[in-house]
Amino acid sequence: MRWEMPQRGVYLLKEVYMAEPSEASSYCRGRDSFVVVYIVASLEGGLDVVYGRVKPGVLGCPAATFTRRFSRAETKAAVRTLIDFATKVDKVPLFQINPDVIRFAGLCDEYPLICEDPAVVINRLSADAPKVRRQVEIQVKPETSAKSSLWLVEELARILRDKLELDGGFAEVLKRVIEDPDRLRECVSRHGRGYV
Amino acid sequence: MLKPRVDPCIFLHGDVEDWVALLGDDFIRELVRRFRHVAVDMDQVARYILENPGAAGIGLRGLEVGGPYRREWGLFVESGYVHPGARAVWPYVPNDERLDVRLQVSPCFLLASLSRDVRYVWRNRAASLFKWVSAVPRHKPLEVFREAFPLWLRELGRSRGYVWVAWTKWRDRRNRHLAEWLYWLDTGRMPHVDAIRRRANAVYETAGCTKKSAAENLYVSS
Repeated sequence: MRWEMPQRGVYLLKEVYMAEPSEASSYCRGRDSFVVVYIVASLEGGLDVVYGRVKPGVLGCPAATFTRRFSRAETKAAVRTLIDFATKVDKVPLFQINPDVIRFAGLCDEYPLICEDPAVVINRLSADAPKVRRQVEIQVKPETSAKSSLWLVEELARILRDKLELDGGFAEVLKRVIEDPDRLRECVSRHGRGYV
Repeated sequence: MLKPRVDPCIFLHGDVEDWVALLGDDFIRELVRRFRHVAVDMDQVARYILENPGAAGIGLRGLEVGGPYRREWGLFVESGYVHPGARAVWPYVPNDERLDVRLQVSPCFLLASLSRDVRYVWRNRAASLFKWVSAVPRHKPLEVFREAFPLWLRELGRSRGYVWVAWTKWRDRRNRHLAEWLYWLDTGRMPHVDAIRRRANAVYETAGCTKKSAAENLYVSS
C-alpha cells in the first residue's frame, strides 16, 4: 500500500460514473477527512488496471493505493478479481464497468451484459425463449433446456440485483410486474424495443 | 525500443502480413506476449484486435515506441487516443459534387477509447453515422458498419471510385474521411497502409472511374 494516487493505468469504471476530484475534495476538509482508495491490479510489462471511484487529477484528499502484481498469463484472473471486488464488496452495478477492459481481458462470455449492446442481449433472450418453450413442450433433453434457460435466469438475476442495489424502490416495481405481467408487455409494445 | 513503420491504424487493417512487415518482429512478439491470455499466435491476436479494436490501446499500455510515428504511438499507448483526421492522400481530381453525408472522422478513430470527449467528436464530426447505428460499435465494427451503411453510398464508392468520393464536398470540406470508410468497408484494409505497402493501384484506380495517370501516388506521413 502507498499513500498516493496510482501513477497511470486503465480505469475499471466508465469515466462517466467516476467522481470529479474537485467534487471528492469537498468532503476532505478538517480532521474527519475521507481517504480515497484505489485498488490496482498491476500486470507485468506496465499495464495497471485501476479500480477507484474518483477520476485521476488534483485531489485534496489523502489517497491510498493498494497494489497486487500479476503475470501477463493471469490477466483474466486479475481483471476478474477487480470486478468481484467492485461488484460484491463495493456494490458497483455491472453497467458502470468499462466494457473495453472486459474485452481486453477476454471476459465477455462471463459478463455478456457489460460487453454486448442491449439489443444483442434482448435478441439472445428472445432467440432462447422459443427453444426453451419447445423443449418444455416435448419434454426431451431436460438438461439442454436447463442449460439454455440458465443463462437467461442468471442474466435476469444479475440485472435485478443491480437495480435493487441502486434503488430500493425498484422492489415495488418488481412486485407489480409479478402481480400483473401483461401490464409490462403492454408498456414494451407501446414504447418499442429501444426502451426495453 | 520498438520502431514500427506504420501508425496505430494498422490495427484496423485486415492483412496480417502487413502487420508483420510494418510492425516488425519484435513488436509482433510483444503483441503476442501481451495478448496470450486470449490468443496463442499472431493470427489469433490480429483477429481478436480486429474484432475488438478498443482492446488494442489497453493491451499496449506502457509500451515504449519510437520511430517515424512515435507521436501517434505515444498518444495511443499512454492514453488510448487516436487522432480522428484522415490519413490517406488522394490524387486530385476536379470535383464539385456534394454529398450530404457528415462523416469527418477516420475509421482509425474506432481505436480511441470512448471517453466523454471522444464521444463528442463522434457525435459532432460523424453525425451521419448515427442515422445508421445507435452507438459506436466496440465489437466487430467492420461487420456492423458493412450492414449499416446505406447501399447507395457503398455503391458510389465502387462505381465512381474512392478518389471521386474523396474530392466531393460536404459543405466546404472534402469527403476524404468518407473515402477511407468506403475503402475500408469494401476491402477490410486501410487505404494509407496499402499506400505504404505500395498497393497504390488498389487504392486509387477503383473501377477505372477516377484514374488519373499523371497523379503522383504518394503517402505523406503527418
